Amino acid sequence: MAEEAILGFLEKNDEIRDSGEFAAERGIEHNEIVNVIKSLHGFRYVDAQDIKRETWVLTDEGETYATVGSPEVQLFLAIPQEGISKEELQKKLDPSLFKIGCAQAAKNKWVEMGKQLISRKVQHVDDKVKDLLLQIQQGLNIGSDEIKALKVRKLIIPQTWKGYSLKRGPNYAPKRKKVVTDLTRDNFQSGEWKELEFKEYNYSAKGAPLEGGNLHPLLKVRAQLKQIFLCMGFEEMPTNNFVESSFWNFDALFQPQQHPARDSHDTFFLETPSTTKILPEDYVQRVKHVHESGGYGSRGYAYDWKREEANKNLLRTHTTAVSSRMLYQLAQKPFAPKKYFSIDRVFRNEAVDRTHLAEFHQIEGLVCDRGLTLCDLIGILHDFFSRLGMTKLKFKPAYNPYTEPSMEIFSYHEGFKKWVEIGNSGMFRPEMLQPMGLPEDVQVIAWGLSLERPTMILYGIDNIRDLFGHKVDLGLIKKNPVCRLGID
Amino acid sequence: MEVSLSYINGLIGVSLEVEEVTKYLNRMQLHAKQCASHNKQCNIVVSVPSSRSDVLHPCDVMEDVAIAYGFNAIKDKVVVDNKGSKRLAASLTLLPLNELSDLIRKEVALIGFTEVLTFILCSKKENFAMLNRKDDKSKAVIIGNRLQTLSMHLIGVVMHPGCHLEINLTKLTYHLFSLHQTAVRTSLMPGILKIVAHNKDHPKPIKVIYGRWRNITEIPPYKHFIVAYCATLAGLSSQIAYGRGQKTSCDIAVLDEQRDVGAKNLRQLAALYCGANAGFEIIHGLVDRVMEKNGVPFVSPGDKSGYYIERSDFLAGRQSRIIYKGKHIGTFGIVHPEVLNNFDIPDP
Repeated sequence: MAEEAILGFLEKNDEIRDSGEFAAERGIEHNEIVNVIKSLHGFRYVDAQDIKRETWVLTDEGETYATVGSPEVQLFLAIPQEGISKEELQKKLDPSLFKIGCAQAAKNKWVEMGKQLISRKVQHVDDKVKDLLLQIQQGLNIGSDEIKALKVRKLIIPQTWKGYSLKRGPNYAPKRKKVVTDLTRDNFQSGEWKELEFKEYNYSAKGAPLEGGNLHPLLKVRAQLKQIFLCMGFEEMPTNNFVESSFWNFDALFQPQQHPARDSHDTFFLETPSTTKILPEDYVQRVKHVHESGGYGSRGYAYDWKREEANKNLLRTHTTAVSSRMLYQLAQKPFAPKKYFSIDRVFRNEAVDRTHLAEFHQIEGLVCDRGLTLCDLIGILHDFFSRLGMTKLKFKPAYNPYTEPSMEIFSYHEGFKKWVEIGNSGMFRPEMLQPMGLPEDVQVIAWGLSLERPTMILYGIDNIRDLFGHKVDLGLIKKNPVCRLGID
Repeated sequence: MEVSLSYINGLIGVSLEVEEVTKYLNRMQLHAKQCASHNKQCNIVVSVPSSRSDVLHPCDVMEDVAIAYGFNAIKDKVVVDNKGSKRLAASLTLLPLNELSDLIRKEVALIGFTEVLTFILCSKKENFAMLNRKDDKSKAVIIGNRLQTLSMHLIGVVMHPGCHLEINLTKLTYHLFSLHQTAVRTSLMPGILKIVAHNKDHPKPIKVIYGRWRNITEIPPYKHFIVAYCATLAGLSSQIAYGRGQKTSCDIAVLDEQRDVGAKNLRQLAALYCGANAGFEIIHGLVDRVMEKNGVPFVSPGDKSGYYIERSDFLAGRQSRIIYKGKHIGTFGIVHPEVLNNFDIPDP
């Protein structure tokens, strides 16, 4: 009804100047008009401009005085010509009325408060207050001084009237279309969609969260690193065996049996299965000999090598154990150059803290060829690490029992503003390679690093347990962006 | 211990004189001097102190020379050497655009959209009219060589494939099949809508992914290129997720005067949802997901550090534009019912 009146009126007229007047003309409640205007404005059928008018309305006290007169007038009328005692006057009037009336009448100099009697000082008074209140009630204008006086006495309060002036809006139509939230099979197939209008969509909110899975950030980084190795021509080594023999993990790498890394506080030795059953015996003998007495140009470690020590089983402490197996197999065939990589779990008997775990992923790459030099190692490290976004490298001498030379690799981190150790590298010793049967001029260069550390740096994670393990927040896995290592 | 000069130089990869080597070794507290020898072999005699129990093999002496020379001094020569080294020749690179596309494909599939793979070729009608778009003849790459099989009097058509092709071929009813292969699509939508049309009996809702993600990278800082690139983006009705439900990713071909052949491929992602209702908020959720997996934050309108959604009219009130770092990179919304009718799809 109100809606039709408004839309119909605007069809033939440019505007509705005042919604209050419009409501009065049509005999419609103004509130109803206002509600309809708000709705039409929301759907852009009309353009609405606010109109505000401030008016005064009577308080309850004001209403009373407008009806029966102001207290000072009532008090005056209660005083007879000859005067009246204060006690008697109080009995005649309401206590609050008496109080206010005395104050106002005295102020107006209408009465005299004598010792014995209260008497009139004038013969006649006009009730101005009542007149003013009645004028306000009728919507007439009065002076600002008078407004102020009445306001002080709390007889009137301001009231704001709100209305609108209207014009046709961008979506104006003589009749409102139905509003729906969605296109559905029903309204689509029935053809009703042509008459529909959609509710405004809140674009500052996100869409509906979609149920689905997420990939773990560490394994996303691993996948990208695998891709990098493949692009550099490396093939993957089979690292799918966590249990290893001490022989392949240590002895084949020319690591002495009394080396601290072989202590029980650094390595997880196994109770079951506790020993290795099969080893290539002729190779074992050559390893024993090179440890004890040297050979291939070396003087050896000059100690008594024990087979039982080599037979102990353990959880591998590095993936170089697999590298030693691969190189041994390579030596059993006519020589061919090889490039290998692996990324897999290794185990250390270490105290767990925010940067160390007892198990983690090791990345390893190695190149086996004739005539390789330290230059080749440094060159390939630059190629590899530049694909990870690390372009400033430097190297520091280090000791490893199975590589010589050995280098620690440092990269300058622009965010941290400092050099960060990122990996280790070296050339395998002749005492490791030649007992396998590899030709004398064959060299092997290799490097390794952990997977966790670059991942933590990449994603700004400072506690390794937030990344790996059963305490990882699933929300982190969900929000984690794709890994773009090697992609621009 | 006696070590040959060639051994040391050979393993480090440098060319040092014997005087340099002895100097370096003496610096490392390994007393060294050249060995007087009758042959041309140049050897160095090293006296190893008992405190250096780690020196077992000539390679340990070589390492000391390398340390004294400086590992980081070797570095300066290596980049040049490595480039010429045939041993390390394999140093390959995959295309970043394809790599990123594969990553996004996996992420979208993880949230329940199924990937589809449809044809590049489509009819001009499907590319424009059936999508309620106008062909301004500035986007579609049109195939002309199929006309070679037509008879002589139609050879002239080849000269004006854009405007004449349809007119002439519609007269030849036995060649109507060609109508479906006369343009290379400029949008992923025809293929994705066809999938829905041909899977009407599949339980709804269908959520399909097709194609690959547009590469979100910084535009190079060449002003001219930026302008051209932006113009191309603005001109395309490119899609992050257009319509509902089904998602597709593949290349499309558009006209581009910047290229020597006059056209280029753009990598896009499209998705579509089809069910009892339109699923606008589901597609919106997919947009948020793809942005999150690219590490792009949701920001207020006008903020150029991330992405936001703004309204654009298509089916009134239900189409939106995606603004990424101040640039319009995609749109999504409810497919217009007329387009659904054109592809004979009964559900929104």
